[in-house]
Amino acid sequence: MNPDRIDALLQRSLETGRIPDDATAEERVRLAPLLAAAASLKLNATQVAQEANAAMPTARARFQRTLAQARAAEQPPVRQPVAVGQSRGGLLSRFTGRRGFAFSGAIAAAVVVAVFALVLIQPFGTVETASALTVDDYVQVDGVVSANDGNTVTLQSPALGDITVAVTDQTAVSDEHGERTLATLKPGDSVLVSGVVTARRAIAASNLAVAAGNATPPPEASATPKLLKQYREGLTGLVRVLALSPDGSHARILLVTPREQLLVDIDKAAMDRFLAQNPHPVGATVRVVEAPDLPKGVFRLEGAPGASATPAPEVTSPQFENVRGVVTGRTGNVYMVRTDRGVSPVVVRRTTTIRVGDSGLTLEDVLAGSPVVGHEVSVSGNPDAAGGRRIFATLIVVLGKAN
Amino acid sequence: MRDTEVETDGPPAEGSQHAEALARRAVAREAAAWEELFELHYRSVFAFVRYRLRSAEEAEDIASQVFEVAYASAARFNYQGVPIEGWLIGIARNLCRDYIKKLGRRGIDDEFDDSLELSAPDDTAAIGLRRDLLEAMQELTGDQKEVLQLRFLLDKSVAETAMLMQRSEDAVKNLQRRALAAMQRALGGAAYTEGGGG
Repeated sequence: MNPDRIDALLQRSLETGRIPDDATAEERVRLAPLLAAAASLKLNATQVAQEANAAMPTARARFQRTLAQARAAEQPPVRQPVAVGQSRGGLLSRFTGRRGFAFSGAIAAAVVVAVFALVLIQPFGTVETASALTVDDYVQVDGVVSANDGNTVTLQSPALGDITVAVTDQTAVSDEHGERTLATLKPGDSVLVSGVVTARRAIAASNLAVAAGNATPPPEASATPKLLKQYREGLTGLVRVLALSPDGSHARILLVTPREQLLVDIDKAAMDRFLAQNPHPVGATVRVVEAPDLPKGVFRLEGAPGASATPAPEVTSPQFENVRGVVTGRTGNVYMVRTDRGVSPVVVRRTTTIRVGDSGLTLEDVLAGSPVVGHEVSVSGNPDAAGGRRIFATLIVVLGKAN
Repeated sequence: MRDTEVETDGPPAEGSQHAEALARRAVAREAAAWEELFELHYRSVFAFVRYRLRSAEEAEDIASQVFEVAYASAARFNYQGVPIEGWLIGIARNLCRDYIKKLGRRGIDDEFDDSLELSAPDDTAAIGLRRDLLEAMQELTGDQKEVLQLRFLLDKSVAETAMLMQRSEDAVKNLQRRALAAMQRALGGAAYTEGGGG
């Protein structure tokens, strides 16, 4: 049989969807399995297209982040302003070191004047402008939905203004009654989002909790938050954003006080302890505490005296569910956690942030499964859609071995 | 599926001019051009890599890397009538090959299986690609795999496939037949008789 003839018949069959009338019986026998294989592929192409569509929002955000980073890297270097509140050691050494003496008197005088000018602009000398959302950080932030285009939700954060939140089929979305879908989110819904910052004002959401009832739209975000550099006695406020660096080494909160918004860097170990005691950090009222062993500009957190560390019950506030108990085993990516109310399966996903704290374990230990058995954990996440005890974890804090 | 006889949208010259202009802007690393390329081709790139990898999560990651690599090496792209999609597919092919090699070195059965479990916690949410089809694809040669992906998964015409694979249309038709026959064999279908398969 002539292969060219079969090729031509196959092509015509693919174009028309049926074997041409002029095909012989023998040719039909040869064409039928080829068309069957093509049909199988096309059927699966539809499913792959669905997967691709689902992947698009996250991938788009990731690529936009790449473009933004590349653009930033291509910008000509900009002289950084002298930041008040930073360690002066480096600056002073320029004046006292050998290179410093090489400066002309006029230049040195100009720099000194500039420093004093900045001090005068910020007389308290305790803050500097900084960003609350850093690309690649894990964050928890609350706000009110102002728009939903089917792939992304615009979140109006009382602290930060509008944030674009990418929601995919991998995002766990729920309210107090169980699972919600992206389509059901509507303007006015009060939500708590966790995920990874993908751009200046964009988050790829891993978990999203919806509060019951509509919330009052938050007021306009106030001025740019300032980074707290020096300790202030009695500094107390409400946590609006929690941010954890990808390697777990840095932690930051956005603290809202009646007068201002402050970004506060929290010591890694102190943050782990705080999270272990406060499963609902966003919305908690806290006090910033200094410690002599911490670097300058890094602090500890405590529940504010006289105030509950968690929101008052009458406040409609979206929260992730919390499970605290002892790990009894792991099957695949599901960890069994024994609590006072029974055993809760905790689903750990790629997007789950795990803090090993003072547990003595490494992240690898936790993922390996066996070493974490017997350790106490505090888990935040969304409950299973089916109403079971299963939790899709967004944040896990591993504690010490249970007695 | 589109085929060679099906007319394309708009005058070919106009489309070609736009594609060339877009490619030139991409080479100049114009962000808007890359955003447009992403919207135009991400799904195709995803589909291309999807059948070479074991999970949608891996495909999402590799497809994203394709655009990152392409953007980083944009200056090296030489537009000479070859569609930029062909270049992206070429990058995707290389990244998949490197990724699979890396998995082979690490040992697929331990680390990879763990990561798969971690990435797919909820079976009900997963899209049920036919596992036998995925496995059958692994038994094809690289060219066979590629022609099936371009023709049936990315919905490319014979002419477009020929351009992307840098072959003649007749060669594509021949390769398409052999690939479908090999696929059918791998799926456990009736043996293809001599002279037709390949």
